[in-house]
Amino acid sequence: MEVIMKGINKSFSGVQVLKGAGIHVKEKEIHALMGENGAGKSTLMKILSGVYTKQEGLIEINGQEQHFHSIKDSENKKIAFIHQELNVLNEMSIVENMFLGKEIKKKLGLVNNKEMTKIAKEKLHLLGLDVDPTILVKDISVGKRQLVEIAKALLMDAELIIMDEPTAALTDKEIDLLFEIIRNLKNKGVSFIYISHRMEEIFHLCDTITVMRDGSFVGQKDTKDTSFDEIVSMMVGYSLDDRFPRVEIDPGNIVLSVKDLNLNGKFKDVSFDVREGEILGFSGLMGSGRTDVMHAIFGSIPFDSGTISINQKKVQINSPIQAKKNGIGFITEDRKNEGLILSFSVAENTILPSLKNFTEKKLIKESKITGKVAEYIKKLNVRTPNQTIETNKLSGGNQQKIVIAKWLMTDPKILILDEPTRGVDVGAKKEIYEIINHLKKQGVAIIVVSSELPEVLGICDRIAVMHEGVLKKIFTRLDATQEKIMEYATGGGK
Amino acid sequence: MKKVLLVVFAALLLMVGAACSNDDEASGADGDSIALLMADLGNPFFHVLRDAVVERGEELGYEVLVYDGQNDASRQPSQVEDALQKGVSAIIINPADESSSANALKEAIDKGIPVVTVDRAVDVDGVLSYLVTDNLKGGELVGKWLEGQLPDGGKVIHMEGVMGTAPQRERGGGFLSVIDPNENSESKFEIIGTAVGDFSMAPAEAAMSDLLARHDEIDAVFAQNDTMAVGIARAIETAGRQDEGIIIIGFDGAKEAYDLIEKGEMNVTAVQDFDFIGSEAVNFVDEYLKNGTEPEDFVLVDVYMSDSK
Amino acid sequence: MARFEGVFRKYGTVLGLILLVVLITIINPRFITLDNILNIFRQVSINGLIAFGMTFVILTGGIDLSVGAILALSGMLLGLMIAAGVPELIAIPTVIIFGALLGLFNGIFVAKVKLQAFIVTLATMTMYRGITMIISDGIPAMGLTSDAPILNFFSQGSILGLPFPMVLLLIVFVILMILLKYTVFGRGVYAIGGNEEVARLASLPTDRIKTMVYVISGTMAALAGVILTSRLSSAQPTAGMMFELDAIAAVVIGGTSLAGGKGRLFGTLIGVLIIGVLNNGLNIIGVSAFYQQFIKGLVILLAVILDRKSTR
Repeated sequence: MEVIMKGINKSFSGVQVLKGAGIHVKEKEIHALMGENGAGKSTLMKILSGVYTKQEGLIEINGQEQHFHSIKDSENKKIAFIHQELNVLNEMSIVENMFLGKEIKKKLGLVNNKEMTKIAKEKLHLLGLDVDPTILVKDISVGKRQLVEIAKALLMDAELIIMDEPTAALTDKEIDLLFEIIRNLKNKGVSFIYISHRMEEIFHLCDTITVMRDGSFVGQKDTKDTSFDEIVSMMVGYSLDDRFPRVEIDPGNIVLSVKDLNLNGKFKDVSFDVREGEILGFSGLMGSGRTDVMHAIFGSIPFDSGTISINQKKVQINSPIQAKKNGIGFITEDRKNEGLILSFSVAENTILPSLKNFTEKKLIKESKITGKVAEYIKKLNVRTPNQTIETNKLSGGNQQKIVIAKWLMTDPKILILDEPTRGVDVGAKKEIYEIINHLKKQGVAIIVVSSELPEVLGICDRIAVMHEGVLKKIFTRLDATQEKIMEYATGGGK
Repeated sequence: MKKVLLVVFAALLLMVGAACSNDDEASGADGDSIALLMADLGNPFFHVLRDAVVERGEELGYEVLVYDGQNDASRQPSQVEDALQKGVSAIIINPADESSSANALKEAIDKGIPVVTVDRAVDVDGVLSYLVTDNLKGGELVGKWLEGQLPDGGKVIHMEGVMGTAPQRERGGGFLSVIDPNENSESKFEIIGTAVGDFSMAPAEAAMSDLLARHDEIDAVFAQNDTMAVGIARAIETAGRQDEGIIIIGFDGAKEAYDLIEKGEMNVTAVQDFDFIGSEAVNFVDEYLKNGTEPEDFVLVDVYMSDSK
Repeated sequence: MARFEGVFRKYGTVLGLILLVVLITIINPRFITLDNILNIFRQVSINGLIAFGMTFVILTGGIDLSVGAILALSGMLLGLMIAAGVPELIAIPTVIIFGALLGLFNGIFVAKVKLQAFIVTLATMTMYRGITMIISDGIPAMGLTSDAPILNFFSQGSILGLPFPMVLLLIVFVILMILLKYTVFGRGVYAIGGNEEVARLASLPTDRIKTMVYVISGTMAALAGVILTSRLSSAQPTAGMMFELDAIAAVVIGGTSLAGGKGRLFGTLIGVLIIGVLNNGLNIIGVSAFYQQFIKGLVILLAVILDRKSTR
């Protein structure tokens, strides 16, 4: 399918988010759409998939002009959109998800489960996924849920599949499988629009790259004729020097000391220290127990045994309230479900953990809030029209900065960041690293949990590697390489 | 699973306990006994009926087993069955509704046990007799009483009970047939307001306070039961208009109404003669059991105004 | 246009109330007399107090079906105590504290045992009604205010010419509004409704806040019970039937989302007034009872539709 979008304009309540945006996707092509968060990629794709309607501009499919008013319209033209936050219902089975709203019915209007299960099995098999389609979606991995979404697209014979950050939650193995499937489908005539922040992936997978900035079309390049640096400078409008800024300081005393932490079925005998002004990285595959350890330290899940000491003193932490009292801040992995109340304003979200600091005689002083929030918006370079806008109107990178601001306001002595740059664009990523470095200089003990090896190697002083709930090895920065980390993360190494 | 079992077990225990206490209430039917099934003893007003039946029954040498339906129609069928198991000679029932206990009563009738229903009919053939207050006539009586008080007519408010129920239709209908100029061309009265108080106090009080705000001049209020009349008296007091001499008329003859009448805050109530109904029901049963005499199958009992006796 | 929409979103319910008042006044000018306005406030105070408490519960994403039962039970308890000769200065605070405890019971099951609020309060509603029947034997306590001047003051008294129930309603409104808008607790109430997990991870004492909203709701219901008992000068064992639904309706008309996290106490006050004005106005105009029910239902539906439109 050939799709041309040209001169697309769109504004929301007076704010123009797209001006002169566009893309030209050819048949049998994997086309990357790149741009910083807030550049308008999602909005453009939502217009193509009929979620929003354009105000000006042209949409052409195979040479015919289109006017989409609903998702149904675009689906009729065989366009499927796989969102970053997967649209699958975890409590329903795979087959129920695939046929949601498109159930095959028998004569009496009863759902024909047998037939649907059979078709589901076929489609999943095409994707190399041989699972029983009647099991619940919550019982399969995130990677497989992604494939269920693709299977759904196949069900409607999609000729263009839009994928938004499909690999964000996948393991390397799952990513390889996904790419193979995408290439296969491409050879069968399906076109793809692929949105991602992961430069390596895009150069690995895509044929063509379209770059957007500030709601406008910037340029289109063939992947084989361009470079990382060129694309990045097109995205940010200027050239970026090194991706991982570093500050070198000598770490101080041990601040956080974890000894023999156990939680049955999640992690076993985990011990490590973090010092003042030190960044300890946590690497490992998804499900290796990294995140659970952090939750246990923060008191948000209970653990079975072990001790946590802060400044050489044993502490009892069995709720986030106590964690905060002990100077721990925790920037969680899942922004949408753990980090932000999306319907709350920027200011309301930012002050949530430090509400008490804004009270006088137990009453909240609104005037204190505005100034403080403005200070942090500036400090972290959050791009937001004002403090009262709902956080769900902001891009992922800016949302992430709000989550960080939230905890910076509590003045933590220990800060845990779980996947701090996931779903964040290149420019914002660098800004977040700079914030982390700034905290390091102030003497905060920092833990960064990350799946991106270059990131861990780039910013951390020491790197702990976990595998199946066990902390296998702690490398110093100079000893660590991607290969060594992967070796331990996959259970090898001695 | 354990928890569920525990809960079920506890519930069973409680039920057995409750059943036992019920047995205490209605135990030992040695000689001739009569079962009295009351719809709702939570309503103190019906205690008069119960007392009349028990008293008259004991005078005539019967043991009276009293069951309380707790205003739950679904309870009465099993209570009928229970009474039959105990081998009672007759059943007097004040049904909670017109159909729930029909099948159970049919079983009793088939066994040749006389059944008398009071205050409300049951939809089943072969009932010995049905005694009920003549609500229509009662309504008329109220109207006529008011005509006697205000021969030159006046402005009247009508507080209705739960819409669509028989007492609401009949009491209101009887009253309006006398007072409402649309129905009685000789009436000198004017109905200036009609509201629904659902036979209960809080809604009647609220509606009355609205009507007091609307009307400067009110001569009389008829409430279709006493509970509402009490609420109305309270609304008039709250509005500070208790000195205007607004006549308040209730219906039923409940204790609370007599209390207010004594204090001078209410004027009169149309009394349902439950004393009579209760003892007459026992008489019917007695006559039938001893001599086989069949009473009239439908008896309308007149009300009387509380100031007439 | 956008500006108009913003105004409409914020003050839509107020506009609705004004429209209603104007309409009723045109049909019958007697509606707008001072006496009648005070009368309306006196009448709405009961539903108002309950609805204020309900607003807190609904903002956390919960629901409290037991308020009508708490009102009946605390009213009955008050009636029995007064009838037994307990001094009113002891009896009244006692039943209000008792109402708080009944709410606490709800709250513990919702927050600590983590059961669904709907189920918990459905169960306790039935239990509290049962206790009311047990302690009263189904018999109302009558003539309570004749020797109880303070209790009588709760419905008949006035301060600066304003009926005491109205003054009480407004005082409680101001206190609760400060509690909701300007305290850590109040922000926590919204945060829990917005996303409980986020609130918990932001180190807010979520369990305690959730328990507290039911305590507030129970306290308000008991306070309403005191007013109703005073108003009727009697305690009815079956009092407060369906009051929970009136309160929920007022909260929803006031623009608070049943999903929690969004809404204002001021909106609830307006919602309560809309229901009160409607009840009173329809009586003043002389609309028949059947139409009254229909119109009330229609207004609730309209309010919800409007709210949904404006939040899109």
